[in-house]
Amino acid sequence: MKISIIIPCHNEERSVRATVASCLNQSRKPDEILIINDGSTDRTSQILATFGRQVRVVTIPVATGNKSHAQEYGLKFISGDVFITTDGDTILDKDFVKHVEEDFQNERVTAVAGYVRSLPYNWLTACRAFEYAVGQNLHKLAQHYINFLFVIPGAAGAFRTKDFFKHITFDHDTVTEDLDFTYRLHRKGLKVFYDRRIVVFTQDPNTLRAYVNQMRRWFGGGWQCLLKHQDLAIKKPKIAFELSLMYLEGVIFSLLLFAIPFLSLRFFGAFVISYMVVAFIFACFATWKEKRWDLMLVPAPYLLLVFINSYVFLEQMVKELFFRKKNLHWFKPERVDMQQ
Amino acid sequence: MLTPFSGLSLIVHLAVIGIGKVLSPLQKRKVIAKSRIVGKKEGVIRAVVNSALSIVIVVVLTALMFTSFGIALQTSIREGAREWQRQQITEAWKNVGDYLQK
Repeated sequence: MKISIIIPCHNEERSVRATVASCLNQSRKPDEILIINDGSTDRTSQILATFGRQVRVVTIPVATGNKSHAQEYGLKFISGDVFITTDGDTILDKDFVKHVEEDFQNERVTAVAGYVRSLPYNWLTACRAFEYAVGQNLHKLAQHYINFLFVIPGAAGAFRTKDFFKHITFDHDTVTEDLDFTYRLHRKGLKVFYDRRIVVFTQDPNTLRAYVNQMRRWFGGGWQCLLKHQDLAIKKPKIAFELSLMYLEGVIFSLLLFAIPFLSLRFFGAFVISYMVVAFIFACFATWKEKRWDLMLVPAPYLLLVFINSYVFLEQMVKELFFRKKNLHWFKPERVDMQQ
Repeated sequence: MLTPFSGLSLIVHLAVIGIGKVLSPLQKRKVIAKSRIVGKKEGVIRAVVNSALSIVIVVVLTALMFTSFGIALQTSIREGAREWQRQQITEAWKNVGDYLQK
């Protein structure tokens, strides 16, 4: 089986060397590493040139401004039976390709979703690591059991090439192309496979501004995809079940979070205390799963992020659902240096 | 997932994992590897049943969640009736009302 890795890059001089090195140092070597240099204006091209013939670089002269455009362009050049998608700020675990190959030995597998870990940097990335640990070991695992995986992460996904080209087209009408792809696979009845052994380490936003912008993209893209694929929620019971839980609960939780402090401070205090207790229990769980002691301290700052997330969730709902102001602007957070 | 540590989704997902852990070995499924269903023919009746079931799920969950929302609001309104911020807000609204009446 021939396995390709495709990495869209735009101004990734601080991280792309580590990303490519992690692809080259796999226990099962990939057959092709294709890097789409999407109009980078920094030293990305020079860094990529140092890898010589080990990687294939396809350059788009002018930045497309959106990862899905770069991906679409790059996919014309791949030759693998299976291709792995990842980002220019992400490090692949050394057994990533090996496990992908094992999973695709099953001929009926169309796509595989991997497990994302956040690289440690500051309290904000620790909060994200906490969210990833709970989200992927609890909610995503449950989604796996009911056979409706909400999203194949853009940084840790793998697709069977012939199935991908047969069923997926790039519409460029959402800002979360990974979510759009996943909905399309569910629409075709192609079940997605969740393998927690397929691990990547990624950079997450390390400033509040970058965090808010990323959440705007994620939640905005979430609402865009929900609108685009709304018929799925009344056609397939398990999708109706999962989407109702996610979106209805999100709306109600967010509204209550902002309404209750005005209505009763005592009731709000009780809510915060109970929320913190549960968050602390899950922080212990995340600490155990991620082997990171700093995650024990996360529940307190995470409370701030809960308010931010709720605000952005409602803001994007109003924009996308009521004002139909579709935001297709791709946001790229500032990178930090990444060690190999 | 906006609310990973609260609400119905947490309870339901924990239950799903619990049931899944029990059922998967019985069904001889590997947790890491689920297969897709290829070319499964969906007849008209099956599609109608699926749609009906989906609508029932959405309606039941919507009703359940908005009932919880209502209970939470009612409780906080009742509990906070004598709190200072509520009295301030009530006073402010009263002033606005009086001003508009003039």
